Amino acid sequence: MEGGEYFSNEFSEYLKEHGIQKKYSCSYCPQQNGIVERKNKHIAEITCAMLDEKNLPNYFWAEVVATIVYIMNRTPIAIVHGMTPKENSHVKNQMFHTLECFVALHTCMFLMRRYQTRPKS
Amino acid sequence: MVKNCYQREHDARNEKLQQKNYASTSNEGDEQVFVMQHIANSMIGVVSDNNVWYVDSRASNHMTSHGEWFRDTKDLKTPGFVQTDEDTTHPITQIGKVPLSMQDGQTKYLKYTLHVLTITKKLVSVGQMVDQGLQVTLNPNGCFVENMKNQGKLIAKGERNGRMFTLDVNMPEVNSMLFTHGKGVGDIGIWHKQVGHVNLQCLKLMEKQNLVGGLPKFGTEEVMSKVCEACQLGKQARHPFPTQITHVSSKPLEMIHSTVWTTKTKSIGRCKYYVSFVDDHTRKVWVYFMKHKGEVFQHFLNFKAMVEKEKGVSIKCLRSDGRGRVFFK
Repeated sequence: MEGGEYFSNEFSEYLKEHGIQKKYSCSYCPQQNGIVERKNKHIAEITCAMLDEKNLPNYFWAEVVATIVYIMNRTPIAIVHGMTPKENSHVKNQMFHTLECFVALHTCMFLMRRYQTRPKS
Repeated sequence: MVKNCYQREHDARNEKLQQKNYASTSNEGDEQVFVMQHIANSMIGVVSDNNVWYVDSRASNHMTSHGEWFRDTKDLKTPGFVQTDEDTTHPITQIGKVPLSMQDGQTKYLKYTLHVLTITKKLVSVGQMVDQGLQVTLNPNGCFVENMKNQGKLIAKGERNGRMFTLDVNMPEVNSMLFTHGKGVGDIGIWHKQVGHVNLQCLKLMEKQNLVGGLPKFGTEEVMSKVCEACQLGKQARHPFPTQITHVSSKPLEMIHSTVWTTKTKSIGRCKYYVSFVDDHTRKVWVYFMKHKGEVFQHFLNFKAMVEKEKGVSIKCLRSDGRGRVFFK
């Protein structure tokens, strides 16, 4: 089912049923959907940086994105008054689980040695 | 000298008048005959200066051979002919109006002008001007055309060249006329469009410094008041992505922003897309990878169940991309 995304009848009916208001930005105007698009830009940039840094082939993007989101949710943000998204939405004063990040990175490096088939341009 | 056999002129009264005229002038002696011959000869000769229009009392209509000057042309229903002295006839190709740039920069039109390919002179008919309510005065200083309906306002003047009277007008540039066809040459909007939507002040400057041939003079008010719709639309820019956004929501899960991101390369798990959900209040990001876009709904259900269980509150608003994606897939 291509292109159903947010507009399938099923989706609309579900939202209606559960009392969730839906707001759509104009076509081809991602600026209106600014917050999530800005996050996406952040993710895309760091994905490029991390793939490049470790000379990983492009098909590792999903692993890298998962790592980035993990890190982002544990990084303090100015707009939520220096708190991390995770501690704000979950439990207060939660420690950064930095170790997990590094484990993820090490996994990447390990995979790199196994899967690398071509140099990154 | 020139008699028009155009159907419209064929009523008996006109014909009688023309014959009368013809008779009177041909009796007037050698000098008149010489003038007539002069024109007759030059009709066969080389094309003379473009700007010379002869004021002719014996031509029944204005006529010229320059087809490119004509506007609002009409074809004749029945073929018409112009007859000259030597009993030679010239076919009339079409009938229309011809713009003339006056010396004061205004553009006037010669209405009902005949397009006759085979004549080389341009003739302005005195009779036709009189029919339009104009007064034509010929004196040793030159030729003056006044509008009797408008308190004798001077419309055009001409010079006296020997015993011929010529109108003092300029023909607009042919190129400029091609694109201003049907509208006034003096329309600043059309010039603005033709010169690639140039700034109106620049156009004014071009006119001041005579950089463009045939550019009419524009009034300052005209320049200031003109607004080009296309230019205004072209200048409109999108708002940038906001650098700082104040919170719309005061609690977590009040608003969820969502979008789908795609890449060319498939991941190890053969995923090509991911859908991201961002909580407006906490800015926490959730990412779900997908093989097809259609999985968005299922992931939303999972996401919703998870966060609502976590927070104990339910999602109030979902904000996502526009409909364009659906239509153009």
